[in-house]
Amino acid sequence: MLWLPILIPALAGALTFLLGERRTRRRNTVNLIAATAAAAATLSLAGAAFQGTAAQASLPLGPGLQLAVRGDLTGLLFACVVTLLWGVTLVYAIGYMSHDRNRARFFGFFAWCIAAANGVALARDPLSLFVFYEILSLCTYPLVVHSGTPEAIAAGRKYLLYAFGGGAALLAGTAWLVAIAGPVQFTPGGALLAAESHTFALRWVFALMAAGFCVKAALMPLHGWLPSAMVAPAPVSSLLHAVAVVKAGVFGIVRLVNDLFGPELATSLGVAQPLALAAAVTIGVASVIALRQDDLKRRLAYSTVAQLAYITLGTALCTPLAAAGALAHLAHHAVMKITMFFTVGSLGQTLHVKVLGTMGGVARRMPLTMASFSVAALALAGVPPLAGFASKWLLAGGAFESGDWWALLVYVSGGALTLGYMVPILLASVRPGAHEPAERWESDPRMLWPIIAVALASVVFGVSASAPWSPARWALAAVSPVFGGWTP
Amino acid sequence: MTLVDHLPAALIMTPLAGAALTFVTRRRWDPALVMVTAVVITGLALALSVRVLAEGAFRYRLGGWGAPLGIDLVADGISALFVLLAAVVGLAATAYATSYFGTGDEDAYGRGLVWALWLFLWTALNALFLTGDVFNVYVCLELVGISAVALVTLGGGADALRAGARYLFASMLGAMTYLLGVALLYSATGHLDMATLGSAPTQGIAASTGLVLMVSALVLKTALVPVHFWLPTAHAAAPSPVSAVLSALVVKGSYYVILRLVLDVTYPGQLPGLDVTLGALGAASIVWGSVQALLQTRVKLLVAYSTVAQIGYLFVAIPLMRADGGIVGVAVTAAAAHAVSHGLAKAGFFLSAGSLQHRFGHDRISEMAGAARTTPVLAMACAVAGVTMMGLPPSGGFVAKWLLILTSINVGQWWWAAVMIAGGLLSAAYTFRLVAVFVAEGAGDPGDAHHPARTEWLPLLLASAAALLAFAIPQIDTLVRIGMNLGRAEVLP
Amino acid sequence: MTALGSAWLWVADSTSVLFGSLFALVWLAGGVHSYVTLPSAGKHRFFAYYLPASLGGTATAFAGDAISFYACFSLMSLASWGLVTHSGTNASRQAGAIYLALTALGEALLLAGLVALSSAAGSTELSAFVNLAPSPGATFGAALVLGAVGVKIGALPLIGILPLTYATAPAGAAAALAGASTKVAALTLVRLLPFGALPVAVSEAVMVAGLATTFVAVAVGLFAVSARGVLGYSSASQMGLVMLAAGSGLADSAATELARGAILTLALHHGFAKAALMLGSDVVPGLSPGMRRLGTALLALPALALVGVPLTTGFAAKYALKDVLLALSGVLPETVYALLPWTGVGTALLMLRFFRVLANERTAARSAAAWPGWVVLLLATASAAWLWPGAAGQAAERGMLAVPALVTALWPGLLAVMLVVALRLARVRPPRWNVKPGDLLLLAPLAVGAADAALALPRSRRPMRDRSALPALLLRAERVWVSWPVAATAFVVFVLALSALTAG
Repeated sequence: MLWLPILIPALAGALTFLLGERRTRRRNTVNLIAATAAAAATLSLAGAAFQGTAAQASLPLGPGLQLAVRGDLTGLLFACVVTLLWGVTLVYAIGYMSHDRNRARFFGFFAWCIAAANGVALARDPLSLFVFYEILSLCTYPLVVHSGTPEAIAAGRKYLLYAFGGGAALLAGTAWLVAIAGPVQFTPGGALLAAESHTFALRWVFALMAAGFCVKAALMPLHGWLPSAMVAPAPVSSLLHAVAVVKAGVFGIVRLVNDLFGPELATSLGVAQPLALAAAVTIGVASVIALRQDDLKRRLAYSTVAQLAYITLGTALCTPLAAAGALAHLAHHAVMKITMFFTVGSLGQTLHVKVLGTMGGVARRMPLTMASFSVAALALAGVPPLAGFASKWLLAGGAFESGDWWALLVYVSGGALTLGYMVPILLASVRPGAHEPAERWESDPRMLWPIIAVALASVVFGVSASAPWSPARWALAAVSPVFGGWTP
Repeated sequence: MTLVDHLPAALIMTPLAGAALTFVTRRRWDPALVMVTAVVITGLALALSVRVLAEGAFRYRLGGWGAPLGIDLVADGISALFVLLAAVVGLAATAYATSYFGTGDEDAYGRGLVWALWLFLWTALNALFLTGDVFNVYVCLELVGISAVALVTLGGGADALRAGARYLFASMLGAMTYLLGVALLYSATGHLDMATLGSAPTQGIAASTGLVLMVSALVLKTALVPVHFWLPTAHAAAPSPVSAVLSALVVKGSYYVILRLVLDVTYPGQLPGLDVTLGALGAASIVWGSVQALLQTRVKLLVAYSTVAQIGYLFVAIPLMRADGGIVGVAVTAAAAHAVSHGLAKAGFFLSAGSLQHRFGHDRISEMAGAARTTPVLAMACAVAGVTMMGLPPSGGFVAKWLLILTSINVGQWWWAAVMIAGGLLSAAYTFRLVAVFVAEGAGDPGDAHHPARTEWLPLLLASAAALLAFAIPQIDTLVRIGMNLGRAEVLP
Repeated sequence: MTALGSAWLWVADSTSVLFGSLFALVWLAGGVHSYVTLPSAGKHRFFAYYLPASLGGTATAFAGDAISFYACFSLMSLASWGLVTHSGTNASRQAGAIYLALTALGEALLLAGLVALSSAAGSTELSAFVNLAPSPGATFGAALVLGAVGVKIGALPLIGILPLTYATAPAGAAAALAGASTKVAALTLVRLLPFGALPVAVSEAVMVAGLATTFVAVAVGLFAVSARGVLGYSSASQMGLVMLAAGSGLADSAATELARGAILTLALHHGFAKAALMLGSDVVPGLSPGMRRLGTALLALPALALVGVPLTTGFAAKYALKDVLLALSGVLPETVYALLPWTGVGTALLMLRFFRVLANERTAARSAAAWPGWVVLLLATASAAWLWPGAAGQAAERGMLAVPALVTALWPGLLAVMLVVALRLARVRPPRWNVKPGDLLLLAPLAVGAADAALALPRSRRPMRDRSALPALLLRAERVWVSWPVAATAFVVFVLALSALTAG
């Protein structure tokens, strides 16, 4: 049962490849059914995890090796985000790619990416996480180079360089870890009690593993692949930037700090502080760079870099509230950013608008789309009562509690800068332009409804942040065992 | 006396009989005959593995004579594994070859020679994997060499002949050197049987020189840098099913003998410096082979240099097998796993390269843009085979790499780990160079996908088997450990 | 910290009633005025921003916890952007950009302050903030809140923000912004700050900053070119007094109640007065000469109130402020107390300037329906501070009629008038420095542009390196290596080397 979130998308992907390019309807049906089934499986596993029963499963891979998964709250939060957004993105992608010639390849690797991301979410020990992490790198490459143009190929090459470079670092770190500490599993609060004396080795292991994760998490200066990966089609950018790849990176950092080293060990070794500083610098620099981007997707890319650093900083502060805020932001940001990428993709596909300068009159032509975008933009800036405010409140509270008051200032100035780079998009869209209001549907309905749905989600998550099923509450519950059963 | 008791002999006699039969039967029935033989051999190989798993290793006295007068065949875990690998790859390659070579009368293939040679090669390989004494190894190596050279040159053409000549030269040189070594060893110890040689410590300059000559010859036949000169052209110029078998099986044959020498015949410390030298040369192979693969402009040469690189991993495992003064079982499993997964993946890679050449009419990489759309099955096969080359999960190559890295850190020789990680990155470079060309939508519309021929699924099947081999490693591990002498202690001079 | 536990608490204590009625009346008056005077073309757009702003603005008075306070504050500030940029001219767009940037900054500081104070208090309820015990966390949070307030009301060096926004927004919106929006800052001070629990250094810094703002704003405002610009500088100056009142109560718990009362009175009085002046400055220039004199005379009432003439609400406010300063001891409070009447002089000069500029302005005639709005506000100006319980009205009433108090209240205004008359008679022409509303802040876009240009320096074009040298070399090396002679030699060498290495 625990393997289902991984197996269902994997099977769907294989079937998609076998069905080939021609049988479109059957292919789409298979994928949509798989998405629904996977969502149901993940949610029911989450329900079980809330009751307190964390299921486990493993497959042997060799002497002393196994592929193991566990359904704990942290992992299931990420897995639910991935799986639920897969379904939404599928509907959007079916609409967006309706004129593409390589759809079977696209949807096949798309499904395999989801399987790999779920694997990362559910992995029980560092080696299993590494296995799925590398599979994820592998399966995203065909999506990045999908269009086959020279820019796409060049972006793909850059992506490979970063992804496999990071993977090499992660491999070295994980192997070293297993060599000194044995086959440890992720345990809330840290699993390295026995190996605490190897401080030199542990510091290097942390550095290597963090470097590996930070490549995908786009921490500066390892972020270079993300802006150039924007050449990929919009559903891929949404997948990369909201759901699977970048979130797998920050999730790895969460696991590294919370469940492998543990907040106490990370702080006492002195490895958490540099990470926090790097994250803070990233927030500032990336937000400022975002202010200067004309291309909409690149603006969103740098915004993603900054927002991911929120999560990294929150985790590196090693306090309960900040850790909870980081996890909550993982979910909230996914929903908010995916709205924005969907919008930009829809603008590009329907109106061929890709740059800030050509956005005049868009609000009149595509009112629902731009309204959803505005909601998501305000949510991202942290305006209450939307989703972004809830996670920012937790993160800021955690920053204050940790005693690192500079982190608090970083968070709030990040919010101000977010407003700075989001508002020009809104302003540009309401400026008068050449577009007339649409007759019936402002764009392909398969692209429109997902946008509205995820924008609503960012409202719902924010307004109901105190409800027991909201991501914020979920994050608080997930983080509780890491800090010895702490409760807010 | 049932068939099960005679499995080793049957495994050698069946392909030999098949080869003899191809001379007798009509040309039209040859492909069917060879397929039947292949299936039978696969069945026998499976039976052997099952028997070894159930009852452990055993020796088979050919003709009832025992050592030291007769020839003994040894079937332990490693032999069974390699025989099984040969069977699986051979079966797939045979299936592919029956449609590749066709039944036309005009060309050389049609003269029925190819099938006989094919089965002769298989006989020699099976015999090599099952042999128990060092002189028999010489015989098998010669047989393998001759059949392989003949198969390489069978297609005709200047390239093939040149490559075949080089291969023949290397093969002869290696065989002569090996024979010299065996002669020296025999004169020093009076034994040829591997088990007997291994049970008594061999000392003296003659014995050591003999062993060194044997190892050098085997290193030449396994194409380790710096003596890899014959492999790339030979493997690239041969017809694709032949290349598949060459890269997947033939180079593993001589490596198998090196494994026997390291594990069963010599003691750790008997030849000081040998392990590290082989490991260092393996590291050099990984780097040089990958770099050269990256620079090639033709697919088959790229794949051939990839073989040179991947062989390097097998040699890097050797110093790790005999660290700590004993045999490290994990490293042996890793080497075996790597050999098996590389065999499967490389066979798939060569078969798909052959099909690509057939489709495009050439094998120039730069002109294969858009292959991902026109020949998706073949492009996928190349990419999936690349996964094993790169050592990415969940392939057998990944498990092998991981186990070797872990071992190298555990015994304190972490530099091997660094080399292997770098090798993975380099493999990624040349694999994705190829994949990037496939995916590129070049100028001009390559059109929509052709309907894939049935044989085009074979490379994908092989490559996928290698890519998912991680899940079968536990079984491979169990098999390999049967008959392995883990308790051999260091011999004090 | 109850993270997201209790959210959206609303209260209705005396402070909220006081501020709530101030806000409601001002936003209402401004709204009615706008409805009556705006051209119908942009009315829908205007009210699409005005209504949320007024909702947020009024609701802040009733917010009982940090999150609802922040939400209403953000709503008001962000929606006000639309009011500032309503006219669509380039100037208004630039003003809107500057306003938005400063709003973002202020909100960031406010959020940080709220988080810090919630954490220190252990609860998000605002009632827990004001009773906070002294601690570094409380000081940090208070400093952040003070920073946010300073940005909102235009403390030095941002004094240009208020004139900038008032000058570009339509009259009704400007009245609302002047009367209500800046008073939210006062509300913030009263609700959020832990009075009496902060170090003396903070208190003194705030007092000095407030006083400095008061004087500098007057000095700059004397050279402003538009009526509303002058009013903006006057607002900045008056809000400096509010900061002064706040600062005086921060350190000494004895002065806390008095300080709160002073802030409340100041806010109440100034809110109505400034709003009345704003609306009046829109109506009066469009009147016929006869009516103009009446209008100007009516406008004199809030002007006098601002100066602090006896019998006006401004007098009550100034009196309350003096009470606070008297309750403190030390060099600084005494100096401030001595300087306080001179602020009156400055305000009076500014008001004279206002009337001077107003006299030269001409606008289109407003309909009669525009009158009720500002008349109501005039009445409110006249009475509010006296009528409201809890304000310092009662104390002022008692002391008001004492002769020393009368003199103290009257002489600043008289001095200002005499100064102006003297200058006129001496035919001394004041320098014609025309300061655009916004002064320093208008330089900000230039600074941003310069930074932008500096960062975007084109990368030097590196000459294309010939990349094919290395691969060609490697390929050649391999070709040499696999040639027959080399290969054979290599094998022989290899065998010899291996023997040597393994000879042990």
